[in-house]
Amino acid sequence: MLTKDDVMAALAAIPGPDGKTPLSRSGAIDGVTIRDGKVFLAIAVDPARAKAMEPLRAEVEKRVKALPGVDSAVVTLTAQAAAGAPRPAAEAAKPAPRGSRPIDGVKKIIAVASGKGGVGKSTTACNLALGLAHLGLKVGVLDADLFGPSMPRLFGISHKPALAQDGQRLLPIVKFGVKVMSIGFLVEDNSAIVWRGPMVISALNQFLRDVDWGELDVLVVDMPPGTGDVQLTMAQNVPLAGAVIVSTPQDLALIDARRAIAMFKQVQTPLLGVVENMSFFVCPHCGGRTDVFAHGGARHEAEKLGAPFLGEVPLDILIRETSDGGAPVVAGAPDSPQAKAFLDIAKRVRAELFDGAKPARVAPRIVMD
Amino acid sequence: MSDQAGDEPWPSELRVRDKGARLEVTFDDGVAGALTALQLRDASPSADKTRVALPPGKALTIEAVEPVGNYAVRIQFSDGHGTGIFTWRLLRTLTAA
Repeated sequence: MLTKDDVMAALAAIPGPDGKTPLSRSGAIDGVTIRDGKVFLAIAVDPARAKAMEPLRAEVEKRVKALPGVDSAVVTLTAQAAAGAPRPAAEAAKPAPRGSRPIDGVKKIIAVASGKGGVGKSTTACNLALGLAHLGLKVGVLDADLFGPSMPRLFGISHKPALAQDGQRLLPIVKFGVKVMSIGFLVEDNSAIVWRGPMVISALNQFLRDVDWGELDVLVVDMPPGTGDVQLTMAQNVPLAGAVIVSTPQDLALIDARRAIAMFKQVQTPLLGVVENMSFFVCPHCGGRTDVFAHGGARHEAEKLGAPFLGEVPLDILIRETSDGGAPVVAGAPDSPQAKAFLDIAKRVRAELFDGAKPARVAPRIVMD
Repeated sequence: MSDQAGDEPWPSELRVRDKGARLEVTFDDGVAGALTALQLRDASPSADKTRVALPPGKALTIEAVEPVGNYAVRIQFSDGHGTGIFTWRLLRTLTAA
Protein backbone atom coordinates (compact mmCIF):
# COMPACT_ATOMS: atom_id res chain seq x y z
CA MET A 1 0.00 0.00 0.00
CA LEU A 2 1.43 3.35 -1.10
CA THR A 3 1.86 5.88 1.71
CA LYS A 4 2.68 9.52 1.99
CA ASP A 5 6.15 8.55 3.24
CA ASP A 6 6.85 6.65 0.01
CA VAL A 7 6.02 9.79 -1.97
CA MET A 8 8.16 11.99 0.27
CA ALA A 9 11.07 9.52 -0.03
CA ALA A 10 10.93 9.84 -3.79
CA LEU A 11 10.95 13.63 -3.47
CA ALA A 12 14.07 13.58 -1.33
CA ALA A 13 16.06 12.94 -4.50
CA ILE A 14 14.83 16.15 -6.17
CA PRO A 15 16.25 19.57 -5.28
CA GLY A 16 13.54 21.99 -4.07
CA PRO A 17 12.62 25.47 -5.32
CA ASP A 18 15.91 26.96 -4.06
CA GLY A 19 17.86 24.46 -6.19
CA LYS A 20 19.63 22.57 -3.37
CA THR A 21 17.44 21.64 -0.36
CA PRO A 22 15.76 18.32 -1.09
CA LEU A 23 12.14 18.95 -1.98
CA SER A 24 10.92 16.70 0.84
CA ARG A 25 12.63 18.94 3.39
CA SER A 26 12.12 22.31 1.70
CA GLY A 27 8.73 22.91 3.28
CA ALA A 28 7.33 23.59 -0.16
CA ILE A 29 5.18 20.46 -0.28
CA ASP A 30 1.72 21.72 0.38
CA GLY A 31 -0.26 18.60 0.99
CA VAL A 32 -0.14 15.09 -0.47
CA THR A 33 -3.33 13.17 -1.12
CA ILE A 34 -3.37 9.53 -2.15
CA ARG A 35 -6.58 7.89 -3.34
CA ASP A 36 -6.87 4.56 -5.20
CA GLY A 37 -3.44 4.82 -6.76
CA LYS A 38 -3.94 8.47 -7.68
CA VAL A 39 -1.56 10.97 -6.11
CA PHE A 40 -2.37 14.65 -5.80
CA LEU A 41 0.40 16.94 -4.68
CA ALA A 42 0.90 20.70 -4.52
CA ILE A 43 4.19 22.58 -4.46
CA ALA A 44 4.06 26.05 -2.96
CA VAL A 45 6.21 28.51 -4.91
CA ASP A 46 6.70 32.24 -5.11
CA PRO A 47 4.16 33.37 -7.74
CA ALA A 48 6.83 35.53 -9.40
CA ARG A 49 8.84 32.38 -10.17
CA ALA A 50 5.91 30.21 -11.23
CA LYS A 51 7.18 29.92 -14.80
CA ALA A 52 10.70 28.95 -13.73
CA MET A 53 9.24 26.27 -11.48
CA GLU A 54 7.39 24.50 -14.29
CA PRO A 55 10.29 22.04 -15.01
CA LEU A 56 10.35 21.16 -11.31
CA ARG A 57 6.63 20.46 -11.38
CA ALA A 58 6.99 18.22 -14.44
CA GLU A 59 9.93 16.37 -12.89
CA VAL A 60 8.00 15.72 -9.66
CA GLU A 61 5.00 14.49 -11.61
CA LYS A 62 7.23 12.07 -13.56
CA ARG A 63 8.97 10.73 -10.45
CA VAL A 64 5.76 10.23 -8.49
CA LYS A 65 4.09 8.53 -11.40
CA ALA A 66 7.06 6.12 -11.66
CA LEU A 67 6.54 4.91 -8.08
CA PRO A 68 5.18 1.37 -7.79
CA GLY A 69 1.44 1.36 -7.16
CA VAL A 70 0.81 4.81 -8.65
CA ASP A 71 -1.61 4.91 -11.57
CA SER A 72 -1.59 8.64 -12.06
CA ALA A 73 -0.10 11.74 -10.47
CA VAL A 74 -1.31 15.31 -10.54
CA VAL A 75 1.17 17.90 -9.37
CA THR A 76 0.22 21.55 -9.20
CA LEU A 77 2.00 24.75 -8.26
CA THR A 78 0.32 26.95 -5.67
CA ALA A 79 1.16 30.54 -4.85
CA GLN A 80 3.18 31.09 -1.73
CA ALA A 81 3.98 34.66 -0.78
CA ALA A 82 7.60 35.27 0.16
CA ALA A 83 8.14 35.67 3.89
CA GLY A 84 7.39 39.20 5.02
CA ALA A 85 5.32 40.04 1.95
CA PRO A 86 1.73 41.10 2.64
CA ARG A 87 -0.72 38.25 2.50
CA PRO A 88 -3.07 38.55 -0.46
CA ALA A 89 -6.03 37.78 1.80
CA ALA A 90 -5.31 40.84 3.92
CA GLU A 91 -5.22 42.98 0.81
CA ALA A 92 -8.51 41.66 -0.47
CA ALA A 93 -10.12 42.53 2.86
CA LYS A 94 -9.34 46.19 2.40
CA PRO A 95 -12.36 48.07 1.07
CA ALA A 96 -12.24 49.32 -2.50
CA PRO A 97 -11.43 53.02 -2.81
CA ARG A 98 -14.62 54.80 -1.95
CA GLY A 99 -13.96 58.40 -2.77
CA SER A 100 -16.12 60.19 -5.29
CA ARG A 101 -14.61 60.21 -8.77
CA PRO A 102 -15.98 61.63 -12.00
CA ILE A 103 -16.46 59.29 -14.97
CA ASP A 104 -14.01 60.09 -17.76
CA GLY A 105 -15.72 61.79 -20.68
CA VAL A 106 -19.09 62.24 -18.93
CA LYS A 107 -19.89 65.89 -18.26
CA LYS A 108 -23.07 65.71 -16.18
CA ILE A 109 -24.69 62.84 -14.34
CA ILE A 110 -28.32 63.27 -13.35
CA ALA A 111 -30.53 60.95 -11.33
CA VAL A 112 -34.21 60.44 -12.08
CA ALA A 113 -35.83 59.34 -8.85
CA SER A 114 -39.21 59.23 -7.16
CA GLY A 115 -39.36 57.61 -3.78
CA LYS A 116 -42.51 55.70 -4.71
CA GLY A 117 -42.57 53.00 -7.35
CA GLY A 118 -44.92 52.98 -10.31
CA VAL A 119 -45.12 56.71 -10.88
CA GLY A 120 -43.43 56.51 -14.28
CA LYS A 121 -39.81 57.15 -13.41
CA SER A 122 -38.38 54.95 -16.13
CA THR A 123 -40.75 56.23 -18.80
CA THR A 124 -39.87 59.77 -17.82
CA ALA A 125 -36.12 59.00 -17.65
CA CYS A 126 -36.21 57.39 -21.09
CA ASN A 127 -38.20 60.18 -22.75
CA LEU A 128 -36.18 62.85 -20.97
CA ALA A 129 -32.98 61.27 -22.31
CA LEU A 130 -34.44 61.14 -25.82
CA GLY A 131 -35.58 64.75 -25.42
CA LEU A 132 -32.09 65.86 -24.40
CA ALA A 133 -30.66 63.99 -27.39
CA HIS A 134 -33.29 65.68 -29.59
CA LEU A 135 -31.90 69.01 -28.36
CA GLY A 136 -28.51 68.02 -29.73
CA LEU A 137 -26.80 66.72 -26.60
CA LYS A 138 -24.81 63.49 -26.42
CA VAL A 139 -26.82 61.37 -23.99
CA GLY A 140 -26.50 58.06 -22.17
CA VAL A 141 -29.00 56.18 -20.03
CA LEU A 142 -27.93 53.99 -17.13
CA ASP A 143 -30.65 51.73 -15.78
CA ALA A 144 -29.80 51.64 -12.08
CA ASP A 145 -32.97 49.74 -11.21
CA LEU A 146 -31.17 46.41 -10.97
CA PHE A 147 -34.14 44.51 -9.54
CA GLY A 148 -36.64 45.79 -12.06
CA PRO A 149 -34.82 47.01 -15.16
CA SER A 150 -37.18 48.76 -17.57
CA MET A 151 -34.85 50.13 -20.23
CA PRO A 152 -34.68 46.96 -22.37
CA ARG A 153 -38.45 47.11 -22.92
CA LEU A 154 -38.67 50.89 -23.23
CA PHE A 155 -35.93 51.05 -25.83
CA GLY A 156 -36.93 47.77 -27.45
CA ILE A 157 -33.49 46.24 -26.99
CA SER A 158 -33.22 42.49 -26.54
CA HIS A 159 -29.64 41.65 -27.50
CA LYS A 160 -26.56 41.53 -25.33
CA PRO A 161 -24.01 44.34 -25.31
CA ALA A 162 -20.66 43.81 -27.05
CA LEU A 163 -17.23 44.04 -25.45
CA ALA A 164 -15.22 47.18 -26.09
CA GLN A 165 -11.96 46.93 -28.01
CA ASP A 166 -9.94 46.72 -24.81
CA GLY A 167 -11.75 43.45 -24.06
CA GLN A 168 -12.44 44.69 -20.54
CA ARG A 169 -15.39 47.00 -20.75
CA LEU A 170 -18.91 46.71 -22.10
CA LEU A 171 -20.16 48.88 -24.91
CA PRO A 172 -23.52 50.52 -24.26
CA ILE A 173 -26.18 49.74 -26.87
CA VAL A 174 -27.05 52.71 -29.05
CA LYS A 175 -30.75 53.18 -29.89
CA PHE A 176 -32.51 56.32 -31.14
CA GLY A 177 -29.16 58.13 -30.80
CA VAL A 178 -28.85 57.38 -27.08
CA LYS A 179 -26.34 55.04 -25.41
CA VAL A 180 -28.13 52.63 -23.08
CA MET A 181 -26.89 50.16 -20.46
CA SER A 182 -29.11 47.97 -18.32
CA ILE A 183 -28.67 44.79 -16.33
CA GLY A 184 -31.70 43.64 -18.31
CA PHE A 185 -29.41 43.22 -21.33
CA LEU A 186 -27.40 40.63 -19.42
CA VAL A 187 -30.09 38.48 -17.81
CA GLU A 188 -33.17 36.75 -19.18
CA ASP A 189 -36.50 38.60 -19.06
CA ASN A 190 -38.08 36.25 -16.57
CA SER A 191 -35.09 35.63 -14.32
CA ALA A 192 -34.73 37.57 -11.09
CA ILE A 193 -31.77 39.39 -9.61
CA VAL A 194 -31.69 38.24 -6.00
CA TRP A 195 -28.90 40.18 -4.37
CA ARG A 196 -27.98 41.77 -1.10
CA GLY A 197 -26.70 45.31 -0.88
CA PRO A 198 -22.95 44.75 -1.45
CA MET A 199 -23.62 42.95 -4.75
CA VAL A 200 -25.88 45.79 -5.87
CA ILE A 201 -23.23 48.36 -5.03
CA SER A 202 -20.52 46.49 -6.89
CA ALA A 203 -22.73 45.95 -9.97
CA LEU A 204 -23.64 49.62 -10.02
CA ASN A 205 -20.00 50.66 -9.80
CA GLN A 206 -19.25 48.36 -12.73
CA PHE A 207 -22.02 49.96 -14.78
CA LEU A 208 -20.54 53.36 -14.03
CA ARG A 209 -16.86 52.53 -14.51
CA ASP A 210 -16.63 49.41 -16.65
CA VAL A 211 -18.94 50.59 -19.41
CA ASP A 212 -17.32 52.44 -22.28
CA TRP A 213 -19.63 55.48 -22.20
CA GLY A 214 -17.34 57.56 -24.42
CA GLU A 215 -18.04 61.30 -24.59
CA LEU A 216 -21.38 62.25 -23.05
CA ASP A 217 -22.94 65.60 -22.21
CA VAL A 218 -25.47 63.99 -19.91
CA LEU A 219 -25.78 60.56 -18.36
CA VAL A 220 -29.37 60.02 -17.20
CA VAL A 221 -29.57 57.47 -14.38
CA ASP A 222 -32.92 55.76 -13.90
CA MET A 223 -33.03 55.07 -10.17
CA PRO A 224 -35.00 52.36 -8.41
CA PRO A 225 -37.68 53.54 -6.00
CA GLY A 226 -36.69 54.26 -2.43
CA THR A 227 -33.77 55.72 -0.57
CA GLY A 228 -31.39 52.79 -0.17
CA ASP A 229 -28.15 51.27 -1.36
CA VAL A 230 -28.36 52.34 -4.99
CA GLN A 231 -29.20 55.94 -4.17
CA LEU A 232 -26.46 56.15 -1.56
CA THR A 233 -23.88 54.58 -3.87
CA MET A 234 -24.74 57.05 -6.62
CA ALA A 235 -24.46 59.95 -4.18
CA GLN A 236 -21.16 58.75 -2.74
CA ASN A 237 -19.27 57.43 -5.74
CA VAL A 238 -19.98 59.88 -8.55
CA PRO A 239 -20.44 63.63 -8.60
CA LEU A 240 -24.17 64.01 -9.30
CA ALA A 241 -25.04 67.22 -11.13
CA GLY A 242 -28.57 66.98 -9.86
CA ALA A 243 -31.73 64.99 -9.36
CA VAL A 244 -35.07 65.06 -11.17
CA ILE A 245 -37.95 63.92 -8.98
CA VAL A 246 -40.97 62.29 -10.64
CA SER A 247 -44.25 62.07 -8.79
CA THR A 248 -47.91 61.58 -9.46
CA PRO A 249 -50.04 64.35 -7.96
CA GLN A 250 -51.68 62.13 -5.34
CA ASP A 251 -50.71 62.58 -1.69
CA LEU A 252 -49.62 58.97 -1.33
CA ALA A 253 -46.90 59.50 -3.95
CA LEU A 254 -45.94 62.97 -2.79
CA ILE A 255 -45.13 61.69 0.69
CA ASP A 256 -42.44 59.44 -0.80
CA ALA A 257 -41.30 62.11 -3.25
CA ARG A 258 -40.63 64.34 -0.25
CA ARG A 259 -38.49 61.59 1.27
CA ALA A 260 -36.47 61.31 -1.95
CA ILE A 261 -36.01 65.07 -1.99
CA ALA A 262 -34.90 65.03 1.65
CA MET A 263 -32.39 62.30 0.85
CA PHE A 264 -30.81 64.23 -2.02
CA LYS A 265 -30.66 67.27 0.20
CA GLN A 266 -28.89 65.24 2.87
CA VAL A 267 -26.20 64.19 0.41
CA GLN A 268 -25.94 67.72 -1.02
CA THR A 269 -27.19 66.83 -4.49
CA PRO A 270 -28.92 69.79 -6.16
CA LEU A 271 -32.59 69.33 -7.00
CA LEU A 272 -33.05 70.10 -10.69
CA GLY A 273 -36.80 70.04 -10.36
CA VAL A 274 -40.01 68.07 -10.08
CA VAL A 275 -42.04 66.40 -12.85
CA GLU A 276 -45.73 65.68 -12.38
CA ASN A 277 -46.58 62.46 -14.19
CA MET A 278 -50.11 61.15 -14.82
CA SER A 279 -51.10 64.73 -14.24
CA PHE A 280 -54.53 64.43 -15.87
CA PHE A 281 -56.46 62.22 -18.27
CA VAL A 282 -58.25 63.43 -21.37
CA CYS A 283 -60.91 60.98 -22.53
CA PRO A 284 -60.26 60.06 -26.16
CA HIS A 285 -64.01 59.53 -26.70
CA CYS A 286 -65.64 62.59 -25.19
CA GLY A 287 -62.65 64.90 -24.72
CA GLY A 288 -63.56 65.41 -21.07
CA ARG A 289 -60.70 65.78 -18.65
CA THR A 290 -60.36 63.76 -15.44
CA ASP A 291 -57.74 64.38 -12.77
CA VAL A 292 -57.36 60.73 -11.86
CA PHE A 293 -54.63 61.26 -9.29
CA ALA A 294 -55.69 64.83 -8.46
CA HIS A 295 -53.75 67.60 -10.15
CA GLY A 296 -51.10 70.15 -9.32
CA GLY A 297 -49.72 68.38 -6.24
CA ALA A 298 -46.20 68.09 -7.59
CA ARG A 299 -46.17 71.70 -8.79
CA HIS A 300 -47.30 72.81 -5.35
CA GLU A 301 -44.60 70.67 -3.71
CA ALA A 302 -41.91 72.13 -5.96
CA GLU A 303 -43.06 75.67 -5.13
CA LYS A 304 -42.99 74.87 -1.44
CA LEU A 305 -39.38 73.70 -1.76
CA GLY A 306 -38.31 76.54 -4.00
CA ALA A 307 -37.40 73.97 -6.65
CA PRO A 308 -38.19 74.38 -10.35
CA PHE A 309 -41.36 72.71 -11.59
CA LEU A 310 -40.25 70.97 -14.78
CA GLY A 311 -43.63 70.15 -16.27
CA GLU A 312 -46.60 67.83 -16.32
CA VAL A 313 -47.16 64.72 -18.38
CA PRO A 314 -50.70 63.40 -18.89
CA LEU A 315 -51.89 59.86 -18.23
CA ASP A 316 -52.09 58.90 -21.86
CA ILE A 317 -52.57 55.77 -23.90
CA LEU A 318 -50.07 56.81 -26.58
CA ILE A 319 -47.33 57.18 -23.96
CA ARG A 320 -48.20 53.80 -22.47
CA GLU A 321 -48.39 52.03 -25.83
CA THR A 322 -45.18 53.49 -27.21
CA SER A 323 -43.37 52.69 -23.94
CA ASP A 324 -44.48 49.07 -23.98
CA GLY A 325 -43.81 48.92 -27.71
CA GLY A 326 -40.16 49.87 -27.43
CA ALA A 327 -40.49 53.12 -29.41
CA PRO A 328 -40.89 55.80 -26.74
CA VAL A 329 -43.07 58.72 -27.75
CA VAL A 330 -40.24 61.25 -28.10
CA ALA A 331 -38.48 58.91 -30.55
CA GLY A 332 -41.54 57.43 -32.26
CA ALA A 333 -43.83 60.45 -32.48
CA PRO A 334 -41.69 63.52 -31.80
CA ASP A 335 -44.33 65.93 -33.11
CA SER A 336 -47.14 64.67 -30.90
CA PRO A 337 -48.35 66.81 -27.98
CA GLN A 338 -47.30 63.97 -25.65
CA ALA A 339 -43.71 64.18 -26.92
CA LYS A 340 -43.82 67.95 -26.58
CA ALA A 341 -44.52 67.60 -22.86
CA PHE A 342 -41.28 65.63 -22.48
CA LEU A 343 -39.32 67.94 -24.78
CA ASP A 344 -40.35 70.93 -22.67
CA ILE A 345 -39.12 69.09 -19.58
CA ALA A 346 -35.83 68.28 -21.36
CA LYS A 347 -35.39 71.96 -22.24
CA ARG A 348 -35.85 72.99 -18.62
CA VAL A 349 -33.46 70.30 -17.41
CA ARG A 350 -30.88 71.42 -19.95
CA ALA A 351 -31.27 75.02 -18.80
CA GLU A 352 -30.87 73.99 -15.15
CA LEU A 353 -27.80 71.90 -15.97
CA PHE A 354 -25.90 74.15 -18.32
CA ASP A 355 -27.09 77.71 -17.64
CA GLY A 356 -28.12 77.15 -14.02
CA ALA A 357 -27.48 80.05 -11.70
CA LYS A 358 -26.19 77.84 -8.92
CA PRO A 359 -23.32 75.58 -9.89
CA ALA A 360 -22.81 72.51 -7.73
CA ARG A 361 -20.53 73.37 -4.82
CA VAL A 362 -17.13 71.77 -4.84
CA ALA A 363 -15.90 69.55 -2.03
CA PRO A 364 -13.27 71.12 0.25
CA ARG A 365 -9.53 70.77 -0.19
CA ILE A 366 -8.17 68.02 2.01
CA VAL A 367 -4.61 68.72 3.19
CA MET A 368 -2.39 66.39 5.22
CA ASP A 369 0.27 68.45 6.95
CA MET B 1 -37.00 71.74 4.69
CA SER B 2 -37.72 74.88 2.78
CA ASP B 3 -34.09 75.45 1.91
CA GLN B 4 -32.45 73.77 -1.05
CA ALA B 5 -28.96 72.33 -1.04
CA GLY B 6 -26.67 75.28 -1.53
CA ASP B 7 -27.32 77.71 1.28
CA GLU B 8 -25.70 75.91 4.20
CA PRO B 9 -22.17 76.70 5.39
CA TRP B 10 -19.75 74.61 3.40
CA PRO B 11 -16.18 73.71 4.34
CA SER B 12 -13.53 75.14 2.06
CA GLU B 13 -10.58 73.33 3.62
CA LEU B 14 -9.91 70.34 5.86
CA ARG B 15 -6.34 70.29 7.11
CA VAL B 16 -4.82 67.47 9.16
CA ARG B 17 -2.27 68.94 11.58
CA ASP B 18 0.42 67.70 13.96
CA LYS B 19 0.89 64.25 12.42
CA GLY B 20 -2.81 63.48 12.62
CA ALA B 21 -3.50 64.80 16.11
CA ARG B 22 -5.93 67.49 14.97
CA LEU B 23 -8.21 68.37 12.07
CA GLU B 24 -8.57 72.03 11.20
CA VAL B 25 -11.85 72.87 9.49
CA THR B 26 -12.40 76.14 7.65
CA PHE B 27 -15.88 77.07 6.38
CA ASP B 28 -16.66 79.39 3.49
CA ASP B 29 -18.41 81.84 5.83
CA GLY B 30 -15.17 82.35 7.77
CA VAL B 31 -15.94 80.06 10.69
CA ALA B 32 -12.93 77.87 11.52
CA GLY B 33 -11.85 75.58 14.30
CA ALA B 34 -9.69 72.63 15.24
CA LEU B 35 -10.99 69.23 16.34
CA THR B 36 -8.80 66.67 18.05
CA ALA B 37 -8.66 63.10 16.78
CA LEU B 38 -10.29 61.98 20.01
CA GLN B 39 -13.13 64.48 19.68
CA LEU B 40 -13.83 63.24 16.17
CA ARG B 41 -13.50 59.61 17.19
CA ASP B 42 -16.05 60.14 19.96
CA ALA B 43 -18.40 61.89 17.58
CA SER B 44 -18.13 59.25 14.84
CA PRO B 45 -21.63 58.58 13.53
CA SER B 46 -20.79 55.00 12.58
CA ALA B 47 -22.87 52.10 13.87
CA ASP B 48 -19.64 50.20 14.46
CA LYS B 49 -17.88 52.00 17.27
CA THR B 50 -15.87 49.10 18.60
CA ARG B 51 -12.83 50.58 20.19
CA VAL B 52 -9.51 48.81 19.90
CA ALA B 53 -7.06 49.66 22.65
CA LEU B 54 -4.00 51.47 21.37
CA PRO B 55 -0.58 50.35 22.57
CA PRO B 56 0.36 52.30 25.72
CA GLY B 57 1.99 55.63 25.00
CA LYS B 58 0.42 55.86 21.53
CA ALA B 59 -2.01 58.71 21.03
CA LEU B 60 -5.02 58.39 18.73
CA THR B 61 -4.37 60.01 15.37
CA ILE B 62 -6.11 60.65 12.08
CA GLU B 63 -4.54 58.50 9.38
CA ALA B 64 -6.59 59.45 6.34
CA VAL B 65 -9.42 61.72 5.27
CA GLU B 66 -11.19 60.77 2.07
CA PRO B 67 -14.12 62.42 0.33
CA VAL B 68 -17.53 60.77 0.26
CA GLY B 69 -19.65 62.14 -2.56
CA ASN B 70 -20.07 65.85 -2.30
CA TYR B 71 -21.34 65.96 1.22
CA ALA B 72 -18.97 64.28 3.66
CA VAL B 73 -15.58 62.75 4.44
CA ARG B 74 -14.65 59.38 5.86
CA ILE B 75 -11.97 59.55 8.53
CA GLN B 76 -9.58 56.68 9.17
CA PHE B 77 -8.25 56.62 12.75
CA SER B 78 -5.11 54.95 14.03
CA ASP B 79 -7.15 52.57 16.18
CA GLY B 80 -8.56 50.94 13.08
CA HIS B 81 -11.92 52.69 13.11
CA GLY B 82 -12.76 54.05 9.69
CA THR B 83 -16.44 53.67 8.94
CA GLY B 84 -17.75 56.97 10.25
CA ILE B 85 -19.04 59.39 7.61
CA PHE B 86 -18.68 62.98 8.74
CA THR B 87 -21.07 65.26 6.87
CA TRP B 88 -20.36 68.97 6.47
CA ARG B 89 -23.27 69.57 8.82
CA LEU B 90 -21.75 67.35 11.52
CA LEU B 91 -18.34 69.00 11.15
CA ARG B 92 -20.05 72.38 11.44
CA THR B 93 -21.85 71.34 14.61
CA LEU B 94 -18.62 70.02 16.14
CA THR B 95 -16.58 73.06 15.09
CA ALA B 96 -19.13 75.55 16.31
CA ALA B 97 -19.66 73.76 19.63
